[in-house]
Amino acid sequence: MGTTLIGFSILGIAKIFALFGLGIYIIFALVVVRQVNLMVETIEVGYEFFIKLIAWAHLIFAVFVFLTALNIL
Amino acid sequence: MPDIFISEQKNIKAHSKGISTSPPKSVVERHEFHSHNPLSSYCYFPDGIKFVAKDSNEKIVLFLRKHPITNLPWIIISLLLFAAPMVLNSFPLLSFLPDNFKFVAILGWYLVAIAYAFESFLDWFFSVYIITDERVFDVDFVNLIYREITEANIDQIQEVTTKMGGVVRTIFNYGDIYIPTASETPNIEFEAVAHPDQVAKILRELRVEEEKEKIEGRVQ
Repeated sequence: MGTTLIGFSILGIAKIFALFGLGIYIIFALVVVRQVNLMVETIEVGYEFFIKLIAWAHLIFAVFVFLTALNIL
Repeated sequence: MPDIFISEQKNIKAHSKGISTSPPKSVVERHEFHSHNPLSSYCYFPDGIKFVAKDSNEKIVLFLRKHPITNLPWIIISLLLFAAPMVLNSFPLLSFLPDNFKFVAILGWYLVAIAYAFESFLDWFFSVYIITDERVFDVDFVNLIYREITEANIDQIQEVTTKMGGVVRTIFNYGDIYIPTASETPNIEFEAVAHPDQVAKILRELRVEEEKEKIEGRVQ
């Protein structure tokens, strides 16, 4: 085991912080999806499908990064 | 049986408006710079725009956004954010971290970069200014999940002030428009819109038409 801080591995603590941060980010990505839906409901100009697609792709990417961090850290 | 009387009430408004349900050819020529592209920042009589606060008989005369050049700062910052991991690869800033942590850190960086670019785009795309034949709207998406729609009737507009200064604004012909109103919302402000003089002129024409309607007792 590497460097420890009060009996905890420093990298273990870093992992918990990273996962916590990425978890919060997933909530943020969900809010972005909700926000885009709200905007599209307010005003329809064109390109709504692509904008929604980007918002969902962003959310999926956030989940992917979280799962990757969970696996490799 | 022949019709003795056919009401022309429905057409009165359209005929009375200088800017009516469809733009006269001469007026369109004045707006040759406008575009019906969804990314356009200046659209005269736009097609297919649906707006939640618009009445069914209301016609959108002008659809405005901030001038595209105002996007330049966030585009440059986004490009720098995306390029940073590649550039910083030459410097051992994260060398103290194991490879798996480095990888997750870079992925996290790209997440933040994407979010910044996307949020900045959404802010520009959905923060719009709409002038209809009856009202003026300022739609702002201030931050996440917060939306603000300010509106005022055309006849409540007291004056229209345009402000255009600075090298960039003069070159690209964009500026701010201040619209003090007599409604509860004291001010409507169009920020960094293209062709501000033209916008002010259209607002002036609409106000004159509204006043004419009031005098002639045709206010709806």
